[in-house]
Amino acid sequence: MACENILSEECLSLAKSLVESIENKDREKADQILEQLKKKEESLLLQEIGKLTRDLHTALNGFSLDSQLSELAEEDFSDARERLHYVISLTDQAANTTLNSVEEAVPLCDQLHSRVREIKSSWDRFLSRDMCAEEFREFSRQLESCLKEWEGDVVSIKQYLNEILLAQDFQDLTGQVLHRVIELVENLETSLVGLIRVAGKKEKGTSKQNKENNSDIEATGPRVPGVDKWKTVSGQDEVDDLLSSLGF
Amino acid sequence: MKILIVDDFSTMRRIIKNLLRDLGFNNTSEADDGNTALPMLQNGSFDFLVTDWNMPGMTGIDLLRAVRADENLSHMPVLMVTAEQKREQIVEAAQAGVNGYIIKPFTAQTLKEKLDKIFERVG
Repeated sequence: MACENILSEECLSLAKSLVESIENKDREKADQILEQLKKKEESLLLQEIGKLTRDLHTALNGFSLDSQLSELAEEDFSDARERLHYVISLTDQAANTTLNSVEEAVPLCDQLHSRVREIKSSWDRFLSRDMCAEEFREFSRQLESCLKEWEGDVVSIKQYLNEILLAQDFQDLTGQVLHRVIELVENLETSLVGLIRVAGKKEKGTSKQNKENNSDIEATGPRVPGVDKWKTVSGQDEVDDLLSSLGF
Repeated sequence: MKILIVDDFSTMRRIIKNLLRDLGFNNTSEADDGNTALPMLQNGSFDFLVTDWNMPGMTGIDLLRAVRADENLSHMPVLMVTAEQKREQIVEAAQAGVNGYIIKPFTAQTLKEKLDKIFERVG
């Protein structure tokens, strides 16, 4: 559509007619032409407003991408924050479980060590025949009670070591949660790049929704309390009940 | 008893491996996803499969389906140890033919119970 403006052929011929009508002292004609020119100016103004309106509309459409960003900012950021808090609490738990077990096991080892040394020194005296019968009877009783004690201690130490072993599962669980946060940051990056393109008008903004396809059986990693709304079983017991209801 | 442990996190594989050793199963191998695990299962003489669900490459549920579809492996007992805990997922695993389902985090006791139960049924 050719844009009408004051430099158009039509305006020029109107202006020429105006000059002509003034030269001819034709007042009526001159007034008529002036009126026509005024209308033209008004229509130019209207056109300009129309153009501005269209630009605004385009800009607003472009910013629909922005709503995606605000969604990211409002929902996904708080989601990511909760997930990261969950990671902190899992690592905190694991560290505490490990430290508690170590703090219980180390004194047991120390106690074991000092008792072994006691027994060993008595044993050395026995070997070098530096022990009377009465002493030996005492040593035998001591040895018997130690053996019982040690058996219990070793079982306890093994238990603490097992607790430490199991506490390491945090690495798997937090790793899965962190992968999801990384995914979210990548989505944000894509959206920001899109917004920059729209703002820079280098390219038409194509809003690419990267929402994960939450099909019911798709793997989603550990459920983060307070963040993930999907319905899960409450624990191993419910898994067992569900499976037994299915004939397992 | 030769057991294959499949999990993308090496720490979890080590945990399971240690727990299994504690229960008397010393012959274990490891794989980090279904794509690595499947050829190992097809070539090796494994008796038991412990697998995670959420892994890059081939997931545990796809590995389970592939095992059930392979005539040489179809009867192998499969225990799933996973953080996936939606009811739909558990039902899906059951329908795909899983023999046991443990959700993480789990205890040594749970692992022992499930293994005992599976061997009771299979053996």
